[in-house]
Amino acid sequence: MVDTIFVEEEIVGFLRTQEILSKFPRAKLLKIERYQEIFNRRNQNFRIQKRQPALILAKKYNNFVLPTPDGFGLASQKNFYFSHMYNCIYDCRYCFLQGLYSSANYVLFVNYDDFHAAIEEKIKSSPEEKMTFFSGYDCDSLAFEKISGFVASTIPLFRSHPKVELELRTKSVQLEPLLSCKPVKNCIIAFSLMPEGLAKQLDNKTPSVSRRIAALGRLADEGWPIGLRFDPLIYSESWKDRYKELVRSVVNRIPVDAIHSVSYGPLRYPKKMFGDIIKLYPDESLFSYPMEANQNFVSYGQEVEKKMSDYLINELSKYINSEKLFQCVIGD
Amino acid sequence: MVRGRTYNFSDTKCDICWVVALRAEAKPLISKFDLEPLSEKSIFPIYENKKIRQVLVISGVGQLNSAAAIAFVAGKCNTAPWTAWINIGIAGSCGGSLGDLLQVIKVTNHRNSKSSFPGFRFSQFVPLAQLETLDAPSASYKADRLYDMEGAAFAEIASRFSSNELTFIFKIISDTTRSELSQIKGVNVEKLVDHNIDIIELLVKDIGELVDDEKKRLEIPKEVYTILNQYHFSVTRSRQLIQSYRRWRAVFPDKSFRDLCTKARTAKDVITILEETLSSTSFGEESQW
Repeated sequence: MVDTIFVEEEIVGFLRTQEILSKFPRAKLLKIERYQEIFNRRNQNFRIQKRQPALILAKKYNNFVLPTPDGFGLASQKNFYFSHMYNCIYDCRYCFLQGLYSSANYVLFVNYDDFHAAIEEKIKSSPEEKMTFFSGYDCDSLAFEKISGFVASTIPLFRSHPKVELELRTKSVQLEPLLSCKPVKNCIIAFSLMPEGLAKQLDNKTPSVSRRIAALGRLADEGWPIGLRFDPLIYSESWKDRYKELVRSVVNRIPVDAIHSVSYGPLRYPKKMFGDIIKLYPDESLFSYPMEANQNFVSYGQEVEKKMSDYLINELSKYINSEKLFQCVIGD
Repeated sequence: MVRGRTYNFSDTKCDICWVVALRAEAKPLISKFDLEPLSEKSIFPIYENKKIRQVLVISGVGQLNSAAAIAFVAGKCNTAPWTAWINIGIAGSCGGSLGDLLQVIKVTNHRNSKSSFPGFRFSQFVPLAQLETLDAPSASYKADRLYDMEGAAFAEIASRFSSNELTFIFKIISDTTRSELSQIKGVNVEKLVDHNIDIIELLVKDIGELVDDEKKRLEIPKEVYTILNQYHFSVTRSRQLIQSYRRWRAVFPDKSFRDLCTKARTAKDVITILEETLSSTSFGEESQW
């Protein structure tokens, strides 16, 4: 539970700020000028902060919508992402956020209207192009929804732009904002999945994979388009059996017609980020097995990556049309 | 290869380092934690208890003194990146009650308006507060904060020797009005700290757990130094060994490193054995979990 909230002075009076604050009546509230005063400062210790992150309420001024990094995205001509929040309530050991920021505090930008305006502007700028917007790059799209209400406020925008897709990437089973409204056909609910045994070791504080699959099933039953994200693929003992079982569990519960897309990607890090993460968690065995470093990235290496991708494609193709399968690889 | 190089295990004396301005603030801590004089006549008196690995330095009043005392004790006692730094002392306040102990989570330097946000928070034990550090005593207080004369410099400097999350400021309200400010005497200050000594002990216990976790993460174990000195490691190879060792230890937390190295004849062999052992296993093997 959040025990401390830092609020930028400028937004203290915002209605949304007050709504969020009202959900934490016991938290200590302190005013700050800008969130950068406290977030990502030198000498901060991510690992200790992660034990008890504070919430920072802030206003974002620019860069509301950005092009996705290379290798991220599906088949659209234009892929964008937006981050209304930095950091995540989960603690997945492979997560790149722990190498991206030196701070584990949650930053929530409360000026949602500015995000929406920026999205509208992008849509208007290229009305003929197929476009997808991704949420959940710097945070989990749904995990903080009970507090933020961001998804509930954003879905209507995409309902009014049926040709533009929105992907909500999540591991959360907090489905209320989705189940309480009619499904939006251009809004894809994409769940990150990995074999249950691996998730138990690596996906700390998240719902189990079986609960995620059950949640996906419920959403599919309601008519929401489903995304399956096997990302990152973890090279492990008996990985073939593990992924085979995972695919089988998913297709047993989710009608194939409900699946909008499937993407998969290997475990890869920019070199510096990898160094920072293993410094933070030297006792984490995930990073102990031999990995290869090229000029920019650390990975399992092309041979292992290809072996895993080929196997997964083969398994998925037994049930799902190959046109729905996408590989996401950063740095290729 | 550099023959004859000796690698020394760096045994820091200090897991917790107290920085207090006044002797009266220090006395209850010295008594509670059985701290003995290390260099009482030096410019900044230092006390220590080797057994519990605590050190205390009396800095004197003011930001400059606090910063200098931190640097002094860090050098003298070989503090480590996992050392927790604790500033405890009296503070003025417009609200609250005399003798209340609070943890400072935001400190602003009145001189330049710069703020720091020190410490892992212990809101289950003590109320959280913000602090303003002044250059001279004042009785003109704003309602929402505490006032002292060291906190800002302490937070900024101590965090450089360790981390922001292991830098703690605790304050005890000593005066709330102009009349009380003039009544602050050593004996009263001592009583205020002593009155909170049980909760301070609880805080130290929890801070110790954070320190242990960081120490485990950062310290190079003695068994690595044993191997480093048994073979002839160049500086580059010694770094490789430490990296490979950490990865190996993460996978095999209970195995003997010494036994693993028995077949190695050279430093290179040691690293090769570690890497080959890691290559022959894979993540998620049942035996590891």
